[in-house]
Amino acid sequence: MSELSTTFPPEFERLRGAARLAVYIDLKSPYAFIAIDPTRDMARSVGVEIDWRPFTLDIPSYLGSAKLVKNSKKVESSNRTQQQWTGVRYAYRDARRYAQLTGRTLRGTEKIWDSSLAGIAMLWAKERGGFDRFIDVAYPAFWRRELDIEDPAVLERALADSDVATAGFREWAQGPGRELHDRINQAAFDAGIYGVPSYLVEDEMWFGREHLPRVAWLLGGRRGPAPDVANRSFAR
Amino acid sequence: MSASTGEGPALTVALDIRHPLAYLALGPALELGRELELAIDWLPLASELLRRPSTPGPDDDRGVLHRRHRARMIAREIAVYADAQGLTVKEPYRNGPADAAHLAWLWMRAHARDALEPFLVEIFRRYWTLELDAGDAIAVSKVVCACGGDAADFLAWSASDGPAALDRVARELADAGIFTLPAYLVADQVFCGRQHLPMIRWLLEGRTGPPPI
Repeated sequence: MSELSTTFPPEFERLRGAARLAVYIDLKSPYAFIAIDPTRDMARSVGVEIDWRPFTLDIPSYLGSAKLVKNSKKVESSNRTQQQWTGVRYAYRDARRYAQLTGRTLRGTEKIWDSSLAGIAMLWAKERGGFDRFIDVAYPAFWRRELDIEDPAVLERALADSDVATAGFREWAQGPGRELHDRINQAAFDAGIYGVPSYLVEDEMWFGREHLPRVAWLLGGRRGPAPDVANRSFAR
Repeated sequence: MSASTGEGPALTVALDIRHPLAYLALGPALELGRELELAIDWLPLASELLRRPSTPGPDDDRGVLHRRHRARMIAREIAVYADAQGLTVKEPYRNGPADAAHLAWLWMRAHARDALEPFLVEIFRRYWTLELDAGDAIAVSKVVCACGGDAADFLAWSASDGPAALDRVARELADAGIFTLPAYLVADQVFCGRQHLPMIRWLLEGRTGPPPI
């Protein structure tokens, strides 16, 4: 097979480290939102713990920027091409139809959020054993447009609602938390991660939940034929 | 295209012979059609082709790096899943014309419908093993002939009414909201990417059982 290689560069395995499965997510990604439960179900089905990590997308760098008039679908400002708009609109429609089937609300965002503080809050919650609870509180609220993820006070409340201690969060978020977040992001991007959800398993990296069948196949010892991509349920 | 009218095929599949992801989508869609005893409406569409990862340079910004990461990931994805399907994909970044192959596709759809799916399997295979120039009408007419079609009739049509018919299909698919391939039209919805086949199956089977999410 000329020019195409099935081999992954060693950076991905190094980035994964000791975790059997590392998964990168960003609160502002609708595809990451709808991937959470299938990813959990898949991991449960093969008995593997997930090492969740934040990856803050820099959307304007590759998809142009845009802002909607508040409470409207009218575009206030944008430097996106028509093709970029078509792709973005399809992505929201696509994510929404899957979200609706599980009774979730997924409203289009009014601007491109800086979700780095939410990523820092994820790290704070993770260090305190409350990562899953935090994303279960924060994700649905954000996609209902009820969570200002650029406001430290709002994130602090979301942490408290997740039964995660908040004392010291704001100071940590401005110093060590920010540094940790930036380090994790830079290491991921340097290794070749560019979107969410991204999955690190064995020496492979996959972007998109459609690869969960392969991730499960790898984690399960490569039994049977290698599966194709599929958005499918892993719930028992 | 009549995916939503209640008449004719309930599933339309749009592919470009020149895109490896379209090749990877062909087999699984054929299998779905067989399993559900479905007459799929197969349509050709010239799309944006696979992009080669850019060469690293000193002035690469975040956007350039992002697109390079993405191009490399798509290349690996094609390699891994083509391997799993047992498909050969040679010279994936070719970007020559496909008009002759796509015209033949439309001609077979209109005049030899029963042979269309074997024709698609053959023409995709020949293209990706470098046995076929998809822009060469004479070469393509030999595949038409091998699949039971009338090569002379195809060549005459491809030089007369064919190009307008191909343009019309492209406009209709664009109007339906298709912007990237492989694309599927079912129950008034557009799906891009073969990962949606479980959802498409669920819709075609009348939404019985839990949704595949």
